[in-house]
Amino acid sequence: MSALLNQFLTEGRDFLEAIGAKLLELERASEPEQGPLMVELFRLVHTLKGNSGLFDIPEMTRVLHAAEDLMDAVRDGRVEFSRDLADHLLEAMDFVSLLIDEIAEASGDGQPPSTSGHAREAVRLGEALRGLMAESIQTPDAGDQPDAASASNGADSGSASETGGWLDDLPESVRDDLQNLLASGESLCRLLYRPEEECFFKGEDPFFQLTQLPEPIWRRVGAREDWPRLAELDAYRCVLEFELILSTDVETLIEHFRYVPDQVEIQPLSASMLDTSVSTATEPDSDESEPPPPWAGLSPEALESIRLALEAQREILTLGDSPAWLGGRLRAVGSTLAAILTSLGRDPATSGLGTALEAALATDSGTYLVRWLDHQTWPEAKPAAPEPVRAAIVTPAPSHPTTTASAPTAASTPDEAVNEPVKFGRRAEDQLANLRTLKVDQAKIDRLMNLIGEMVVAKNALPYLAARAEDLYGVRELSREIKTQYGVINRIAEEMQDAIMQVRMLPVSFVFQRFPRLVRDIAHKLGKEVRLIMEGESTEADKNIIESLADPLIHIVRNSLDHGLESPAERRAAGKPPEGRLTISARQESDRVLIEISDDGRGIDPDVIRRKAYEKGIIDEAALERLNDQEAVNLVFAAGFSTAEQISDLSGRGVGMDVVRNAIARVHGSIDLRSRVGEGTRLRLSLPLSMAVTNVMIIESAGQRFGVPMDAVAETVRVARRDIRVIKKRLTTVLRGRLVPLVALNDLLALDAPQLANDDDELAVLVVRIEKEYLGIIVDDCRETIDIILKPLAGFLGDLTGYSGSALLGDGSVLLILNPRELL
Amino acid sequence: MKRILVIDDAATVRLYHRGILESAGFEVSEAVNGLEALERLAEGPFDLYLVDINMPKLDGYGFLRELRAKDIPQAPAIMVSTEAEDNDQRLAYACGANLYLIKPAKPAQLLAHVQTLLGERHPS
Repeated sequence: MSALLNQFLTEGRDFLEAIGAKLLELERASEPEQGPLMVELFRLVHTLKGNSGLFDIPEMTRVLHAAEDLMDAVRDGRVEFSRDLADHLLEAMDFVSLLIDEIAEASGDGQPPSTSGHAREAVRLGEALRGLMAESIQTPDAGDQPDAASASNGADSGSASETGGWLDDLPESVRDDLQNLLASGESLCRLLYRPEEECFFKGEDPFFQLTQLPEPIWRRVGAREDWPRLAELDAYRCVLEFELILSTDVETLIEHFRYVPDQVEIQPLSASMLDTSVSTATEPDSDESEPPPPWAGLSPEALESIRLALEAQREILTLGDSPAWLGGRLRAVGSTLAAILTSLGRDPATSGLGTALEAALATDSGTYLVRWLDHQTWPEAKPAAPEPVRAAIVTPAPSHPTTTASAPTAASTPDEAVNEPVKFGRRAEDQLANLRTLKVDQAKIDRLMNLIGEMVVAKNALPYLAARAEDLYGVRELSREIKTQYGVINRIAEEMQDAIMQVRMLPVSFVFQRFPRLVRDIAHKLGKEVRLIMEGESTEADKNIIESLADPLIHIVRNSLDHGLESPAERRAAGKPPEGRLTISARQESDRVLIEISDDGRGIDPDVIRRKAYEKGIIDEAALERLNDQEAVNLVFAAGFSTAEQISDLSGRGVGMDVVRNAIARVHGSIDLRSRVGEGTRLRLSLPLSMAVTNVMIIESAGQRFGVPMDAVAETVRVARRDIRVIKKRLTTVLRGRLVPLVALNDLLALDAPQLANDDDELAVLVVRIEKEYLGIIVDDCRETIDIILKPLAGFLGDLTGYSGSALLGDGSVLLILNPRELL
Repeated sequence: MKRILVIDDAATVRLYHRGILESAGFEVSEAVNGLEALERLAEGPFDLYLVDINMPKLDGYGFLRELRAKDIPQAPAIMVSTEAEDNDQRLAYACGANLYLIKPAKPAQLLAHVQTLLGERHPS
């Protein structure tokens, strides 16, 4: 990427960020403050548009130009600044941000890649922005006229076009020709080009544009409206329209007319459009837009054997060893590949295989041949049945007379706007300060993570090996050496793991950054005034943790805005400032990340909660009396609890706080809720920094081994059988003056065996902590703790509750990891 | 006519392979172990080798290593084994095999593989 383009992209992001911030600021600014802000906004948009003009990005320039004109009108007081206007501008800036992201991602050669796929979207946004101006004023200044005219032209031509009409106007002979061409597999397009009237003044040459296209099969140049008498005809206005049928594909045409996407209509032709009576069966080869591959006639068995052989050659080439006979092996692969090409009906001599083989032989490595393999087109594993392919191509597309690569977006309803505040994916803020950073594909990091996971497991085999060396073969010396070496490998593996984990760390701003916009949109919708304060956005945690935070946090924030914060009137009545405060903060405490969401709203009334919980049957009468206020407040986490008087479309859609709590628990986090009536609510999430390695305790029961995550284990004790009592039909014991209910693991897992006691008739008890309750699980024996890489259960085992996953042990056996929370 | 060398110490297997291959119009030569197979190379290079693994004197791996070290046109080789072991397959590839099949291979399948590696257009 050239330095200039890089500079533009970096600066562009800064500008977008500033524009977004200024727009939000403008909304809350008082009247006298607004003036300077608008001037500043105009300057930002204007400069960004100017910058974009240096490059070949018409889609971006188009939208920015419209935004600039609009801001100019706003600055001059011709158009009033409104929330609606801000929404449109924000959407336009999101679009520009998306384009910047796309350009940055495509590793270009100094020129930005084509963004013509977004042409349609650009036209829509540009028109929407200009529409805002048109509503307010009917006197566009001279500079605006051409664009405004083109916008309306585009709209007119779109509505005026009739798919069927023009076909009937074609001469019979042309239609026959078209049908024959389609039958022979040509891809045809119809193009309707209506240059804008002022095009000559903009240095455009519609006729030249058309001559640059391949020779059309048929063409028509006509008047787009009835011409006035010659004396009144303005020769400097273009009032022509061009209609062509060309043998080319849609993409080429879109690219060709990317500067004037609103002035053209492009429509791919299909056989069925010309004559609906033409059935696919009578014309077997009529509809292949690409020539069939040379292997089209091969049987599935033959293709399968070819695929297998290809796979084998690839495996041979990537073996990575270099024996003395490597040359012969490479040549054998070469002759095998040549044979495969011949089997596929291709000529090995023209395939470049020879060159690749020579390069491979010269470098004593299979790399060049692998590269060659990668660049060839091979049959798919399962050859697609030809029939469905034909059907798909023949299907006419009358509902989309004009086709562009970008999917048309329906105008979003306000509700959608709230649910999906970010319409163009990641916004400019995502790209904060990524100077001197290396972009790495996430899959690569995940692969590293998996590999180190395997490494950790593999190294755990060494202690087993040492034990075997000593016990089985009686070589103590070797055993000691293995143990020493294990220590070294263990240290390196741990450091590697740590290093990889560092790579996976993301700042919480990754999730936080969407909140200013989200809070703004929701607050507007609810008619509330909210000031959002965010702290500690640079706090980091593992990518998985950060990602798992997104949905729960959004839900919590929505809850706060919907149920927590009061309307300005209510707040005034309660003697609070009309503007509510919502604070989201993050910080690290030892190996946990703490995230707090607090508001100064009405708080949660424990009495209301008690009553609701009782009405919904979540608690019984005894509990109603017994629960203290804090316990009552925590009832909002109970499944099926929702306090909203009426279900609003924001929160309380049946997705309650229990979902939030479970989502947090899945990443081994906990949640703490504090609330004071009339003063506000504070939710604190405590999450691990990383969840890559889990420390588990191995327990035995009924002759099987299981793992229990150590963060759930409070202690392990031996309880004499005589100290176990039955209270209210439940096994119970007293530990240090505290009553602890007991359950036998064999009962929980439906294992048909009694729990075993030791020689002193004492039972092993694993005390686990769930929320604030302590529970004892009776097991046969507690063993050592180990670090494992937890893999979730997959396939039909995935539905099993009670297990959080499985792990591979150093001796190759599988350990099932229990999930006490689900078990109990 | 394409020439195939079938290398196996079991006469039954040689016969089985010969029958399948000859019926498809290939010329088949036989060798009872790797050493004899190497001697057969003097008759001129073959177009394909069908190699058993376990053989006396010189096994299939050894034969392939010797073959690939020779300065002759290198034709594809299929290793035929009774074991579906990943390690065996890797070793076979490392020694110079181009395909690893489990025997007994069904006639149709074996033929399809042989035709692929010989660059024959498959009959549809």
